[in-house]
Amino acid sequence: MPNTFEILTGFLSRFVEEVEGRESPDLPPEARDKLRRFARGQLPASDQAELICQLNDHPDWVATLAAEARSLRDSDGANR
Amino acid sequence: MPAAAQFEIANGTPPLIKLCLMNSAPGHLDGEHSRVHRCQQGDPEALADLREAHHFFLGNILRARGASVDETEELLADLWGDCVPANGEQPSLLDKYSGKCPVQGWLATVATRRWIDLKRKQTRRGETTRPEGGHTAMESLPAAASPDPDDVLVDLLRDSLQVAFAACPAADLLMLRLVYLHGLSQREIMRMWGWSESKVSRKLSQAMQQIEQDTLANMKRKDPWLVLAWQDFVDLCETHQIGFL
Repeated sequence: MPNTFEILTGFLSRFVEEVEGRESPDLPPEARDKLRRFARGQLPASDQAELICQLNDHPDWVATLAAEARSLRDSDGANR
Repeated sequence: MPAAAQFEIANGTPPLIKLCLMNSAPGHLDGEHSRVHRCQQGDPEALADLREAHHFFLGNILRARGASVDETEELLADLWGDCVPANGEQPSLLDKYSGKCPVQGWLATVATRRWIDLKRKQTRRGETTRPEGGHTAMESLPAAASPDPDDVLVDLLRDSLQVAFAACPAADLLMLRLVYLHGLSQREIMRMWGWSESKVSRKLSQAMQQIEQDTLANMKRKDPWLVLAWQDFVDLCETHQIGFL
């Protein structure tokens, strides 16, 4: 069963525009590095704010950020 | 007697109710689809059964959303009338039912958007009334095309939600996306932001509450007479998302 946020974004993506993209193949290397560090909790707060603004403009990068965070599950047990 | 003439009008004060996606077990839906199919063919018995099964619920939904007793009667009389195909000249309203959601939720959505359309027309008429002249400015205007009633509800839901999303801080929206769309745990979010788990939990909860409040406030600004609870709003979005028409 979809959660409320999923229903709302699903509705918007159907009737407005793409609000949640797929993993971007042409992500700039610098942005990819920042996403990786953000996922690991190694990005300073000032850089976080800047990256979050960029993510707002590029919703397709969010999938990459999520994939980076998930990739750490087996290695450090963050999800246990 | 034509099937539409057998329909009665609901009355009474509605209890508090919630539109939910009804029983969608495969067996239940099969029976429902079979009944709808017979209605589309103009089977009077099936039409009467359909009305019997959903009329009271739809009346309560409209009343709970702010429609008066008279408006509810009028809307439902038209709705059931439109479900009856007219000798090949006019197909049944039910021909638009895709079968992707329970028919009760679909009928409630149709009734709600017709109610919104009706109220907006009444409001527009009221705005163009000039009591001192004894006639309305509307009478001197060329006839304008009404907005498609199919779009009225989608427009309202979309516009209200879009403004709320736009007002949500980018960091909050990102956190919601990561958790609710990409399945990250709160502990993973906690590590990314360097926050405590309780702070992450609080932030997620506050962000969703803010979206809810802003969305309902936006809707109220646009259509003050419409009474829609948050769960109703979400259910209507879901009904449209899964393939309304």
